Amino acid sequence: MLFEKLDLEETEEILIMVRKHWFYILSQLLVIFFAALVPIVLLSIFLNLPPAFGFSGINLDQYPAVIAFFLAAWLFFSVISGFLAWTQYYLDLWVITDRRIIVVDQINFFNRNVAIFRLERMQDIEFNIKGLIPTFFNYGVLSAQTAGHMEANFNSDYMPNPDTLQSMIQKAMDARLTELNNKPNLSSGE
Amino acid sequence: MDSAPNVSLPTLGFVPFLPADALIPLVFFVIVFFYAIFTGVFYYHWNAYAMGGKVISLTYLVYFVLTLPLLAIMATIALIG
Repeated sequence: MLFEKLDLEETEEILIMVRKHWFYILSQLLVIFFAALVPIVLLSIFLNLPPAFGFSGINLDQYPAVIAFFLAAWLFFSVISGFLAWTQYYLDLWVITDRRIIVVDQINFFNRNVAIFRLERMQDIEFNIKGLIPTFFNYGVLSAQTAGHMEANFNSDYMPNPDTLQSMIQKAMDARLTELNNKPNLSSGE
Repeated sequence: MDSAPNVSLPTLGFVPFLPADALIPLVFFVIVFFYAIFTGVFYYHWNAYAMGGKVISLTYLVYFVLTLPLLAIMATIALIG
């Protein structure tokens, strides 16, 4: 693990690293997979049509190389699309430490948002599991609000086991507040 | 099978002025151009932002195993066949 990329504070410990639920990437990859099959299915239907239903004046048998080329190109871009989806999924990350929550949101390839929320400033952690599939696979939306005059919220969907995450964050918050109360000279950062 | 059609340079319906054997190499080079750009972008993101060396090594492997054969098929059709 390349923890140094997170620029952790001294003695800061990572409690858990979380990515979106596997159903999120699976559903995206399945859509791409079926889209990749579309021209192959259409071509097989087209080639098996009786001549009376065929497109007049077009004989696909004349263009095997052209068809093979564009099929390969279609598959090629489907593979690239799959890796685009995978990369966005893999680079989206939640890191919960004993001091902070670091939310990395890779919105697209040239739009990356990294937000850091200190545990002692967190409040109102909520999760919401809505729908049949999220209930079945236990994923949902996790949201929280931070205190202060510069209020900030985070809201992440497809979070796996949001109830466990909520409980973990709550315990980490309590532990952090206790630590700060016992050592009031510990301001943020050190 | 019927005898070979008497069409030496078939044209495609959507580009009637360009024969297929000129269009395909052109499309192939455009695809290679985009492949180079996408590969560069993937390389940068996987190296700069990704966490976890094994997963990224596997991602590289799968990426090239899936894309290079398709590129080779297209190159064969476009430049040789």
